Amino acid sequence: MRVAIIGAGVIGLSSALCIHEQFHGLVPSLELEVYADHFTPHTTSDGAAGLWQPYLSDHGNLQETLWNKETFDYLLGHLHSPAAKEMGLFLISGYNLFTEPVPDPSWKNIVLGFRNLTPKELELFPGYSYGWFNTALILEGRSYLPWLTNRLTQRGVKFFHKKVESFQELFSQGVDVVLNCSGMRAGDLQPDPELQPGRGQVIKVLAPWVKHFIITHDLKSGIYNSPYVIPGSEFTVLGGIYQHGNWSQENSAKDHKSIWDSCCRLLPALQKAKIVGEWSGLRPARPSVRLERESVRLGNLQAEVIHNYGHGGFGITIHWGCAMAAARLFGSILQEKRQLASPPGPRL
Amino acid sequence: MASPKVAVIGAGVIGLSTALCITETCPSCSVTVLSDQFSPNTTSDVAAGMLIPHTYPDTPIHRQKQWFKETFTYLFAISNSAEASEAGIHLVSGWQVFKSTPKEELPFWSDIVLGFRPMSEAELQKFPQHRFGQAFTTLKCDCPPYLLWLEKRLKATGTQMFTRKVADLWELHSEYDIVVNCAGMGAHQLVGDEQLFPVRGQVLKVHAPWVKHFIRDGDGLTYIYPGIHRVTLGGTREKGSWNLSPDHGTTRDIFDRCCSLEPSLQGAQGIEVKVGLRPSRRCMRVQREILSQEGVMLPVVHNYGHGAGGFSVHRGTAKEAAHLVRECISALQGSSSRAKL
Repeated sequence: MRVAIIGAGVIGLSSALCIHEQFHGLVPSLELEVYADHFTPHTTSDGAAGLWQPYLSDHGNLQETLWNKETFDYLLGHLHSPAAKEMGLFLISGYNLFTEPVPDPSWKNIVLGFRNLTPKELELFPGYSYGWFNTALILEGRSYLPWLTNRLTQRGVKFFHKKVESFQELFSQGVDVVLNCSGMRAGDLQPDPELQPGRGQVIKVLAPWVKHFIITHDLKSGIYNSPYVIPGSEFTVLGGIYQHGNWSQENSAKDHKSIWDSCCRLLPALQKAKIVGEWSGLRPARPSVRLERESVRLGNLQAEVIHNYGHGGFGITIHWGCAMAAARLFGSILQEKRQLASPPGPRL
Repeated sequence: MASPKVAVIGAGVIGLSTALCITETCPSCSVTVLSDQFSPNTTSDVAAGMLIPHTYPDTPIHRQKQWFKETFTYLFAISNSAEASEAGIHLVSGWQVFKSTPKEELPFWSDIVLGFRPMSEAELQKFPQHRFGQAFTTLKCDCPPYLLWLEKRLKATGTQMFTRKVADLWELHSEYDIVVNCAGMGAHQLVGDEQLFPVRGQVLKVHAPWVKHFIRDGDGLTYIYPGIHRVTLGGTREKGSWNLSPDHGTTRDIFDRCCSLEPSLQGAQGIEVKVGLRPSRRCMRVQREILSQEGVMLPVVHNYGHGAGGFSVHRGTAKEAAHLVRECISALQGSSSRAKL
């Protein structure tokens, strides 16, 4: 049973690991292959700061809230394991700031210690009159992706540096199931007008005195179009750009100035921070995550695709919940193909 | 007295902040700092510089609270300014955890730090050996940066600083009008204060940049304080020990205790071991006196004995000491005008 995963970002690699962990013991012939045109450190997941935090509102999408929770709980469980440092996983607390009161988010009971900001805390942030404080997690892609790659390699998963042009290409080679974790480029494999880039740009600085994340919100401009500061293990990420429909991955001088000026206004001490890098990437934005099976007829063969893409700016936040859901879909495919070991009984 | 000459003995956080306060409250004074050690070799450089007050048994609580509040307010403003990184002042959040519920659930400083509240059950799960905890956000003064920043501010006011070991306050009476004694542990010998005793502290400074929170065991013995570049792991409280050499067994023990609070510290690199002697006293000595010898008077202001809590109250006691220096100047001017009659 050959399974091909298209995409080696956080979604592709974690889905591959989850499937291998759950099924390799039950399906001895299981062979996993990862195909991607970009591997770490050149994926979208590598550029993200890696803060676990969903959007402000789940728009009634309880399924996604559940996947977010499963991811948080899974990561929290790994916090004290010896692997945590290698995974790039650590706890972080911080501030979400608003110019007016807002309802509590769907994730208030998922994170730790969620509370409103006190008046004295708000003095730190002139211009903001309301906010939250909570403890969450950071999972740095630059560490997590290599860690996932190592775990997969140890398990015998093969990697192919190749741009897959169509699902057919893989099926005609004898692949039985394809996991489509192609993120922003899913449209190249199968048109999807709902999938649009949410372009972001970030400046990486050295500011090791910053120990909290600070995310500001401008409800009129929309998510991530307001300055944010996220301290990582080696450098701090400054951001605040979300451009829907913009496919450019070139750094823009105008965006640089906007990020720099607004972040320095937010945290005056940043004026002395040394800039060590800049990056732009495309959040694979979609009204909801596409996580579903699709049967593809090829002549008299029925091939299966599991789609797992469109995680916007919350891929790291939701990844493990989605990986487990993809694994469940894979399990149902196996049931149908009667590949799973049947209970003991007379052989027919 | 046109330009009173004030000597400040000591260049740790108390000496430098007191000297700075004197230049602020008495701009006409000429201030000189004298110390046998400067940063990075002071006791202050060993300390983590966390603003979590120590409770002095014989100092009234309202005074301790006032000094802490003044210090917190002063540093809060710096942390929020463009100078924060140079001054080494930054906010840090974290947890104080207790194996058994403390008698005092609300310490006197709980309304001065930010966001103080009891930890939730979910948060306590991170500390399986502890049953109760408090979460809050406070400030940290990283040294050497903070001391170097104070030195820079002092130099800008024209204050001079000299490496000099003062063996006796009377050495200074011909050059200076007022002496301010911020000698910390050195006051034991300098003024023969038998109530002052060392409490030895050994710490490890490690590279673990993924640690973003402080964790402190309520017993005060085990703590993890993340600074700008290094995390301070502690510690010990050895009353009466004058030993400034690191002890290897203690290093192992501190590391183990901190790893049991924060397992990820197993991956910490570059361990540096440091030792400091907390200049401890049942109450801090912040008072003025006039020494006299063969008809000669020497006004002295004392500001020492801050023990484990120097950083938490430094600005408050510095302002108080500066106020006492002003009183000394008024007294001198009063007596000199009487002398003219």
